[in-house]
Amino acid sequence: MIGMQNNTIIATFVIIAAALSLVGTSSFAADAYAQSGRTQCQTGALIGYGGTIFGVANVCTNGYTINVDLATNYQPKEGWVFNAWLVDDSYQGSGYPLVMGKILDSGTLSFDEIQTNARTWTDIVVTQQPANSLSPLPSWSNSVAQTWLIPPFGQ
Amino acid sequence: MYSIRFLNEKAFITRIQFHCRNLSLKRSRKLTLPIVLGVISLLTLSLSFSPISNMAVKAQGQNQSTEKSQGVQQEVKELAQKFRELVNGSGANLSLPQGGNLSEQLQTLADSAQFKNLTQQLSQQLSQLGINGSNIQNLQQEGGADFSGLVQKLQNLTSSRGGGGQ
Repeated sequence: MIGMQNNTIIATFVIIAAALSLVGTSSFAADAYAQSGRTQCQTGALIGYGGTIFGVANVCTNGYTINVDLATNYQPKEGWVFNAWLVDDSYQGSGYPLVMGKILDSGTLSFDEIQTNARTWTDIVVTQQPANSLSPLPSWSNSVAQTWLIPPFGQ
Repeated sequence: MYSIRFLNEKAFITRIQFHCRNLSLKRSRKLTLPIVLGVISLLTLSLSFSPISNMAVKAQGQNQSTEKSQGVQQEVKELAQKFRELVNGSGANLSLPQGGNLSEQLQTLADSAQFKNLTQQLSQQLSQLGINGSNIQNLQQEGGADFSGLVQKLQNLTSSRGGGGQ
């Protein structure tokens, strides 16, 4: 009788320990998954649509994380701001634009994100938008510069 | 004598009853229109504030914003593709080699014949790209800005995140 009770206690303990280790492992595995793969970086010249070098962008990815550093010497016109967008034009081209944010008055922008597939992006486009704009969409006709991303992007 | 008086009274009462009926009919006719209008306006109000009609309005708004978003995506896609065609056609390489002096590489790119070719094509085809040309022409550079200042800005950013691929 006492032996059976001991067995039950041991079995319960083993099950709880296994469940806890699974929970712990899965979070570590998710973390490792996001950080797996070799990080590759590339630097591209942002070309102004007027035919000037608008700025430079340094982009790094390991397939899941994406880090973008962008710098420009140009200033938007009064009452407007520069917004930078990642554009997806792979897989027959969805054209989906993801806003990375406003380029600061210092002419710089830093963007970091963990994504399901960071390799899908193909281009960086800079638009000029009214500072008080409420639209979450890019004012594409006011685009000012672009660069494209080389592999591993565009996959 | 008594019966004649009784008959007169009866006729009088009947006449009063007839007048009363006429009056109530006229009143009810006069009241019908305001009541109908009131009911209609109440129905309209309840419909306009009802969640169903709000949902319908929201759904219509969502449809419009989805269409707008898809339109913008299409335009952005076309712009990106046309830009790539132009760059490919010019033979310019926008991707800068890792390592080395970045400002020199930018200067080399800016001085290259391929880049000058690209500049010419971009200015010619700006309207075909659907780009508002005046916005670009009016952009101002920071005073004293050059490629080394630009590269310094970028290096400050990358070093602040602990290195990374320059």
